[in-house]
Amino acid sequence: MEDLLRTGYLLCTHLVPENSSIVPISRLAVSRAGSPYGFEVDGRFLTQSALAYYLRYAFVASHLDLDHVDTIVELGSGGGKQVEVLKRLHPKVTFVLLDLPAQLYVAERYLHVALPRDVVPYRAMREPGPPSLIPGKIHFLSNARIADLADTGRTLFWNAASFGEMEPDVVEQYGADASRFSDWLFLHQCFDGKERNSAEDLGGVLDPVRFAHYVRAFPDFRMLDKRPAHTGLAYLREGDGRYHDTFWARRAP
Amino acid sequence: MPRESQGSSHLADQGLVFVTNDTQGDPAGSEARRERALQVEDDLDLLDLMLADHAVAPERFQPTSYWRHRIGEIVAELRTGLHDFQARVGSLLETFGACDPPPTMMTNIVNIPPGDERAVAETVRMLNAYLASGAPALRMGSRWRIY
Repeated sequence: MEDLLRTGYLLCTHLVPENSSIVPISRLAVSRAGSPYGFEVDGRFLTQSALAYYLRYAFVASHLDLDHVDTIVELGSGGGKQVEVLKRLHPKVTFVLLDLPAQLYVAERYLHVALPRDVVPYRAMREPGPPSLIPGKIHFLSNARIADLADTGRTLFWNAASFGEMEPDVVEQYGADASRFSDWLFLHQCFDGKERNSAEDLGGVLDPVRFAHYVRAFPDFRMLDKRPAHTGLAYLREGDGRYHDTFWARRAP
Repeated sequence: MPRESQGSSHLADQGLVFVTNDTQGDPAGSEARRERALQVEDDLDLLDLMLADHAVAPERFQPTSYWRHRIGEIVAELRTGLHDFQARVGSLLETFGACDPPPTMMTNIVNIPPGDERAVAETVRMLNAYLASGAPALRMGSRWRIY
């Protein structure tokens, strides 16, 4: 099904206007570490998820030149592949990945192979207190360390779907944490809320996080844009709800 | 048997592993071949360290309802190793975007007549392998013309 993936690639190439600050996908290749399924274009290896991560990047970069950002903090960094895409397109940016230990472990191990010169090992960042971030490097921290972050410069806070896997009060607390150090927000969410926990599905949420909860969690920020999220092959859905990409900026004082 | 081999064979026994290295054609150039062989190194001491560090974090940072029921199985899968983890079909690591598995069309076939399960599973496996090898998914090939 390389034809489908190449169609998604073409979509990515046509979406980006010329003379913009968005780095074209023709400059992107991702690692083959762990044997992902993918395809090659002009000798560059890409995957289906790389297309989706690129489109999220392109949405953000249509509002903000990431070369003017010092730090990107991703809460819920998962396997680390979004950061890989961002880092390859904007090598000077500093990254902080925050997640639960199992997810953080996979990201740490994967990025050690994908971007070996750019990572700071988890073991080097364990000391409690404000972490000493190394400019241009990728750092791995437990999600609890979000409370320690300070002095991160011009900072973009990135959350793709993981807020939807929490309850509203937890998102509100994270919102307070992130608001301390962030200048902009990228929130990729199903703003209708995820499925509830039930006897049949214990893995749902207790109380879905909806758009109004995000507004309440980030009172210092104003949403500037909201568009349906696309993976390169299809719009992203959650049951009856759709995922949206949203970009927020801090309100003027 | 090493841990990662145990994990791979366990998943393979369930028909859940589909390794792209076996299905894609060889790329031109030795650099691409070296890159293709890249694997992610296990470090289970690091995993245990991360788990221990997180265990003492305040309650609000512990897994929410969504993750609480998955996390034990995810950690168990990680302990089997990360060899070819991105190629695993049906892996719990997919729940947080860690995988890019090969095509898995028609995995939700229901009401298969008793006794036909094996034949249907084999047919689906062959179709998926065909798609993964680069066959087009869309009906546009040399026999189709666009006017």
